[in-house]
Amino acid sequence: MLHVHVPRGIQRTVAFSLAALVLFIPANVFPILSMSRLGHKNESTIMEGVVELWTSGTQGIAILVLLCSIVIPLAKIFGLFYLCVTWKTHSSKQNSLLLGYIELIGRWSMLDVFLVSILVALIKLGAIATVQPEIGIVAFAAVVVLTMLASANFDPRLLWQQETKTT
Amino acid sequence: MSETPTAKLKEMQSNRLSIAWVVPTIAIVLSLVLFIRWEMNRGPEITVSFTDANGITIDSPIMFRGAIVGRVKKLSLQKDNSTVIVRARLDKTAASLAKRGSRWWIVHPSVSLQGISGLDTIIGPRYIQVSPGDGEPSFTFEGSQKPIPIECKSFTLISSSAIGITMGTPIYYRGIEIGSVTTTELAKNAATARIVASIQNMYAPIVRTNSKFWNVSGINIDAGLTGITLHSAPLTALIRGGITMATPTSSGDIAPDGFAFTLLEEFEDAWLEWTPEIDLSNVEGTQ
Repeated sequence: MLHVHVPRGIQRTVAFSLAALVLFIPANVFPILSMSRLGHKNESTIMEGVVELWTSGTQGIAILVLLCSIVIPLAKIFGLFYLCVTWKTHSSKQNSLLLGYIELIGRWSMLDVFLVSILVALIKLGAIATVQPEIGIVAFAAVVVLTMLASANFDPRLLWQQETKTT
Repeated sequence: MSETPTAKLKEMQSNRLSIAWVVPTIAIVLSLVLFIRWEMNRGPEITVSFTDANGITIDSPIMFRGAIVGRVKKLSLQKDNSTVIVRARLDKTAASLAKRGSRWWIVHPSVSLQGISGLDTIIGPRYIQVSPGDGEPSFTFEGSQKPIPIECKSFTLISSSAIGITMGTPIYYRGIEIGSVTTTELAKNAATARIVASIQNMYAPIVRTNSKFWNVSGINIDAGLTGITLHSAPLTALIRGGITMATPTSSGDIAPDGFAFTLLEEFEDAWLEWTPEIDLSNVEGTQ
């Protein structure tokens, strides 16, 4: 049998996006990393990190983290949902452009995971200070991977086909 | 080429469920497990008000028997600025510490003549220490500023002046510290100074209605023809003052709580020879 499209591609995209959306909640509620300084343990969630960065005067980085870890994953998930619902009825040119944007911004959402892994690798000062990844970052990494899978499963040819059909 | 596969694809999409739906199902189950585990590990939230937070910050630990049993979540000021309200989350296993009668105090380094305490908090973080009560569960408390005092009986000492006597001035009996001054204040009519002395419960039976209290803040030198007599208090008493007490050999009744004595400025040598025998072994029965 010859498949022109990835079979049940839309279903997969919806399924992966939904899974990403579900895991997005624990990723934001639970701490992503904990820092122990002289026995003083400090856990922070993504949002707490953003607020801390903002109040400590690095507003630029705060906005970057907010964009990369909250706005972009959400935009990606809802963008894919939108595509899955409207690929039959809406202008394919517009949707193709949207898919392009989704692919483009998706790369940035892994920033948090890199940040935590670099911090954990760098700050291992034994008893004085340590940084440990927490369950939130695992959920977050899963969100990012799932959105990547979701957009990879969306076959852009579905949009072209719509073009040819409507004309 | 484009027409047949399109029809085929549509058919497949509408009729059969993709195996990919397993993924969101797993995600939902995992999230639920995480939330349930989190909810189960959450202990009660307590509120403790302190007149001085002593440098406690968010995430400062709450300690019991040397183990961390909770963390401070929020600090805020009472509306009238009179106290600092500390909100803390206890661990699930420590929920039984939040009971009526529990005492909470902040451990911070303190160096005084009574000794050095809270040394671990010079480098480490300051923490809240808890001593559990045995009442019914309660979640709002008033913090204490000091570690739990040893159970004490209070007496009032009336003196013409409280010079050399401050909070913490020790009270000695035969050179042994049996209590300390907790407050010094003016009497209601301002004619005398009122000193509240707390005597540890285990020594309380020593204090009788006919006991004598005198001020030993200083050195007393009597120079006469027969020689020089020097009365000196213990060195710490010289620095932070001190009160000595004595009970006559024919001791009176045990003084009740709040009983008032006169604080004398001088003592008679005969008092030092008093040797009453007081049974301290059965302290509970004397309360």
